[in-house]
Amino acid sequence: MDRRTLKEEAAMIWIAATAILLGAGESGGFIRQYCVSCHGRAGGVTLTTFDEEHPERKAETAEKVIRKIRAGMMPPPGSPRADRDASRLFVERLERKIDASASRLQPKPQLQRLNRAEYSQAVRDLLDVNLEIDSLLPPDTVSAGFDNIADAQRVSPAVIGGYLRAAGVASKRAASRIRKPSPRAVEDIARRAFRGTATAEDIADAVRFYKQGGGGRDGMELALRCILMNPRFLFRIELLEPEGVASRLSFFLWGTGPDDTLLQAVRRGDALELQVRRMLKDHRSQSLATRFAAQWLRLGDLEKAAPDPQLFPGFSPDLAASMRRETESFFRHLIREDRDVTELITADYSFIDSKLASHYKISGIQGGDMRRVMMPPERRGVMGQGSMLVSTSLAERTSPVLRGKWVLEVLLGLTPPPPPPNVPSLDDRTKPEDRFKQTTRQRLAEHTQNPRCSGCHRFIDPLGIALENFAADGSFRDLEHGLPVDANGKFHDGTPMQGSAGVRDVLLQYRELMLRNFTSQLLTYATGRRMTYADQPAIRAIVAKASAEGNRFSAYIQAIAASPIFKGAT
Amino acid sequence: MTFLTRKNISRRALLRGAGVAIGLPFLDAMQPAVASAAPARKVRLLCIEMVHGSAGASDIGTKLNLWSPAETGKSFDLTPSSLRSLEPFRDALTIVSNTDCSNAEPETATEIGGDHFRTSAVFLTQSHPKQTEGQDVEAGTSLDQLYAKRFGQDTPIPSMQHCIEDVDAAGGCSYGYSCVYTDCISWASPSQPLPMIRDPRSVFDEMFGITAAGSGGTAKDRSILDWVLSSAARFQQKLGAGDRARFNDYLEQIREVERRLQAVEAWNLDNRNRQPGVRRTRPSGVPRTFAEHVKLMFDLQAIAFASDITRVVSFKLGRDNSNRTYPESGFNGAFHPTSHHSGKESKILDFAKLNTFHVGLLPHLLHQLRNTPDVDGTLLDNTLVLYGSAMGDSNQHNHKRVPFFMVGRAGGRLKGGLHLKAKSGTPLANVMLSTLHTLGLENVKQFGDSDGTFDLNTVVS
Repeated sequence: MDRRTLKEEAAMIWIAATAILLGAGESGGFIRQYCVSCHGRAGGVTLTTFDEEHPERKAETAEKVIRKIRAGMMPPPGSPRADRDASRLFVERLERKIDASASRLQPKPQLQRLNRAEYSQAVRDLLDVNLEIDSLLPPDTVSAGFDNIADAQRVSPAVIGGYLRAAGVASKRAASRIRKPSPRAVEDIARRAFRGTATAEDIADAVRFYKQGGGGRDGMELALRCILMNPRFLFRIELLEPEGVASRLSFFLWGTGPDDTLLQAVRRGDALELQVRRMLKDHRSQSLATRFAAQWLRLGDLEKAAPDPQLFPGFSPDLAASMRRETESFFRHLIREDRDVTELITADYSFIDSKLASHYKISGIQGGDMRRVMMPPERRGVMGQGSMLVSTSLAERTSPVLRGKWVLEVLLGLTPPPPPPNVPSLDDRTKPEDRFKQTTRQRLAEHTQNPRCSGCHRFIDPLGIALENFAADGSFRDLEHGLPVDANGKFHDGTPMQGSAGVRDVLLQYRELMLRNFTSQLLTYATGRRMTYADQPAIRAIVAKASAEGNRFSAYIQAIAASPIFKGAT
Repeated sequence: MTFLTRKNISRRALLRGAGVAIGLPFLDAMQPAVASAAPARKVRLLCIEMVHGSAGASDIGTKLNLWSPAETGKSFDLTPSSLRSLEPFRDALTIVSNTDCSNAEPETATEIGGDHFRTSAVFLTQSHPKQTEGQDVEAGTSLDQLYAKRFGQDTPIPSMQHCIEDVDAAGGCSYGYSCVYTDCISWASPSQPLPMIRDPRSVFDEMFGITAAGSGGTAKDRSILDWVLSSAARFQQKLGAGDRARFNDYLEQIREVERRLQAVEAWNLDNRNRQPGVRRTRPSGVPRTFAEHVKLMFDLQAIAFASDITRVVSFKLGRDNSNRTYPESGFNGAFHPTSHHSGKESKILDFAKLNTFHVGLLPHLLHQLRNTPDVDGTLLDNTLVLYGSAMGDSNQHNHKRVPFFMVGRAGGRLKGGLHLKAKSGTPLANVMLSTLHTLGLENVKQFGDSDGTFDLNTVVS
């Protein structure tokens, strides 16, 4: 087949994939009525043999069906569709059937090596040494948005050389500070370093290096090198024994190894619940904000944001750093105060310093500390925070497309396909002299008029358009190039959206999807593996449990810690 | 020895320009003791990849000669080309135009549209990356690694991998492709991508085996590695088959690092490798601007080549889908959107400014190489710098007429000063296969999707 034809077809692949949902199952029903007219046997997901009475037989396909119907994306807008209740009842029935027969077998945890962040935190905890880790280890390979996915981790001479140098730097600095070097001190550090898995041999070897180095500081330094290069330190070997669970829980909640209290508790066979509660209150749980949330909410992209200084003279790298801290402080608050996690999108407060206060036009805030304040009505939750608004903008203007994509991907877990090739960017379609005569929204009009675009963009753009009252630097605006901003539109299911409040209301309507996605993200980070269709029953169970407890943050963590998916249990 | 009569810029001057001071070897030290009989022209290989193809690959860009010159052979005019900054080096320049990287094209329906997420892995492998997010990633052994396996073992570090851009949170890789395809261009085997180093401090440390302990640190490191290897069995006991394989891979790499440390140590201890009074200065971090970062990496690479610490470097200058801007280019648009020029001339010319700026950084390196005497000439005579992309016209995401050129005479085996235009449909893999032959790997019969060789020294009319 001609490649270009194929590529053009690809433009429609998302629609096709979403469209080809349900085939002509034996039992007919919902599927036959609403889906088969498009989803016969053309490409993408083929459902001709899908039996809605037995979705568990094709669970992978069934999960796609569930997600697209729950998202209100299928049947596509404009096609005949069941009313909302009938759709919900239908997918709930599919879910019940799948969940009832779901396998309890879970993949075993895979060997994870400490990534940059874990390594430097573990060294800080163990030896009180701060490493410039970026200068020592190569960047971690990201998978599914996270830097700790086991099967994406590779070793190469560069990685091992990095660990060696890091161990050299840390040992030297720590050894110079240890007051009374002794075999006893070596033993003590080794025990803590190996997260409860130290054998007599490991400890004896470290002590042997201490003696070989002539004791004292030199001996200490050599012993510390041995400890930091021991695979029990560098790798997270998290098999089913209790120490493995302690390690996994600790890296999940603290981003570092377990303390004695946790190790003792798991060895006694205590319920994890008390430990989880204790650990969430501990300051180390801030790693859930600085590592989990920072990656989930893509705060790293802020560093690449570069609003045009001529158009946005108030923007600076310092302001971007404050924006990152705003979102991290906000997330930390959700953890510490054990808030309902839907406050992610509804919160009427945030955490700002004086720089952000003047950027957001909020008075009375001085200094560089992040302080909790009530936000103006248009800023609610993360969609009102500079981090999201700026990292999804281009240098000269906002991008409703990137913002809409962010909401779909990050909050709802729905990934639109990349744009087809050969599509000129918005800026190329506008004469330079006209660029400032239209609003960004007006320039986007083709996305709704051209059927080649609207197939995907009708799902993406409205969410971004509703956030058009925020400029590319995250400040509020009523006017763009002197023209009034129109932030009204309709979500793809037809619900009217007025400004950012409209986005919030729509997301609340789809909160089940949002909570499942939140859980899936937490689990990916916690287990170091990408979630698949086979994990959906466990995810649903976690959301059900936590929802019954008011969606409190700790309820999610408790449900995850208790889930077989977390322990990799059989 | 002819090099003594050449313009002998002082090594210190070279290093002052580099902003990095180290001891360079006296040149006779670079002759291995055993090689006194044979002329030892050791060829250094630098493979540079830039993403997003070139403006010159579009129809208008081809007509305007924005990349490849109108004339083939010797008397080519670089004035309209993004390569114009290479004019002072035209004698050492070999431009090969009109080749394709078909293995970067989609092969199945699910691969369509995923060009940005697999193309980087194609450049040096000319193989078709397997669409997977898991650990079963697969491309091909890359050109630089084939060379490093054969000739890299003579130096302390067989090969190095450097990059400029950091990994990113959104859009860096997706579409069912593992991020390693976007992150890495060097593949030690079809299943083993090599992570790249971005921080100049890491590059410096790897080159000189610096540890906090200073001298003697490498010996300590080696005793630790010995211990890890000898006690490995204890850690493997409880591992399942998959983890055991991964752990064995880890041990394998430790053996390699141990070998390297030994070689770096010998290099460090060899008095001939030190000039008294010259201090090595570690870079202070990642420079803020693109140009400064690239130049600092070039400086380190020049030092590594000059001092024979390594002979093989791969260098990734960009990241697919990147929205980075390059204000120093004179054009402010972001990289990826600019590459989608919709076939409009004014936009294509804007994109060409970015191409020109990127290529324009090379002279910073080439001057250093040419000003460094080496066996039978200059370091540039004994180096092969290869530059290109596996994307052609990025507006269409195609992989035809990809940008590609080489600078350096590869130890006298390349004439240089030539523009060679391939017959339409010629795989770039053919050029790379012949490049491997030029580099002394005559026994390689096939590379990627090569269907023949390509004469790099003769204009076929």
